[in-house]
Amino acid sequence: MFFRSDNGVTIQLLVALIIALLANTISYAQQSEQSATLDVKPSTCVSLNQGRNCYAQLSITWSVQNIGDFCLIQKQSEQSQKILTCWKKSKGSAIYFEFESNESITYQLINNDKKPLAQATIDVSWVHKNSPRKRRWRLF
Amino acid sequence: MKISKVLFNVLLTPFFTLIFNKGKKIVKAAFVIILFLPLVCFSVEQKLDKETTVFDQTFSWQAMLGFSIYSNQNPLNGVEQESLFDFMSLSIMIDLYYKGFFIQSNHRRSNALAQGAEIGYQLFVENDHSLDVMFKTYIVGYQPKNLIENKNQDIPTLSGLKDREPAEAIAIRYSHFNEDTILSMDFANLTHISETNGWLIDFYFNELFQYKNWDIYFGGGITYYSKQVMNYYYGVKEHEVVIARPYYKPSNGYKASLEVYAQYPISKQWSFNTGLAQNYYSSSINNSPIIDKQHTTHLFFGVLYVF
Repeated sequence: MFFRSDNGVTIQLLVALIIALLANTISYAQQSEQSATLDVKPSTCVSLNQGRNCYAQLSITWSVQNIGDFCLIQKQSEQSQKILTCWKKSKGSAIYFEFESNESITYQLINNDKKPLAQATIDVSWVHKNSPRKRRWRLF
Repeated sequence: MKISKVLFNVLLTPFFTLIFNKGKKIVKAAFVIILFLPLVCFSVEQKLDKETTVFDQTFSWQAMLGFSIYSNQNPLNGVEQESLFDFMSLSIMIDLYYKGFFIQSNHRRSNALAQGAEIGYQLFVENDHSLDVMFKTYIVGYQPKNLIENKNQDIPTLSGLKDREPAEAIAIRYSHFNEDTILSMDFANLTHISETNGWLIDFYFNELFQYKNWDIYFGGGITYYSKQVMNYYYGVKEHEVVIARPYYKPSNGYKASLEVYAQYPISKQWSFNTGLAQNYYSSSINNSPIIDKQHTTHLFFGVLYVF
């Protein structure tokens, strides 16, 4: 019914095409989001005392289904996000660095439109909570 | 305020029990307590606001379980670690803090409850210094009969020797803090509290170095013992004299120590710890017939579980 040669039919055809294209784009975006993976290892960093910086050799690996331009950003509580590194025409990579923080940090993979595709968090915890007493002990 | 007073009474109960059990020294002991009471009560009244402004919390607690394997040289003549169990230790450590009152165990010692546990009150606290009044066991004491039984062999210098009871004391501690260092001085009075009279002064310095997730502590200290304390622990009384153990009445003495301790987190509950300490005893201790080592070395490896 769309293939009649009058103006009304042409408009209907164009609208259908646009809808189909949009649907395809949305579907592509959803597919990209769903297929993006971001893995942070280790997922937990434990320091000895509450409030102390925790150190870890961190590896972050990511992959997406389709090649594109992507960036890895670091999100810390009550701080503006910071871009760690970007890749052009890539569908996956890994970075390794020395993690150092006294609070949990979330890493996000974003695309060219700054849209988050995947995220992972490294939790910072501790063995001993803060004590109201400052104390050191003799060994023997 | 009422809770503070209740806790105050609860914490002071062991003092009263301990002191009044001594029987003969009731009057003198009561005098000591009366001497401390106004000071402590005054501080309860004055320092509650300070506590809450300095710290985020007014109550805290921590319980830990420690297991360690250690090598522990004993300065006593003929006393050594014998069986496998002598090299292992399992201990429970409990810390409580409520508005200046504290119970704290020695997190470094394998026998934390036997020696090193402190019960007291924080008289005042500032960011860089504090003053505490507390009850603590400073010298663990020993039972010669048990040491000989454990060795399954006679130790002539200890055979027939009377038990040396723990050195419990009421002490005043002044501590000075910098960012990573602590310098503390205890003045402890054993009179009326322990089997022996006398006093001791304990200086201790400790500095923390952090490397990645490691905490590394370097420390050193010196403990100065009065004549009476020395005579009780290292002296040989006339009625204790045997061929292997001549009469000995020491003068004042001291013990000096250097130590390094390191701790590393394994998980949220577990941490690994290790320590090495070297002690040096003054000649007045080393000259005692019951002592045969002027230097002792202590080494341990362990894990701590935090509840």
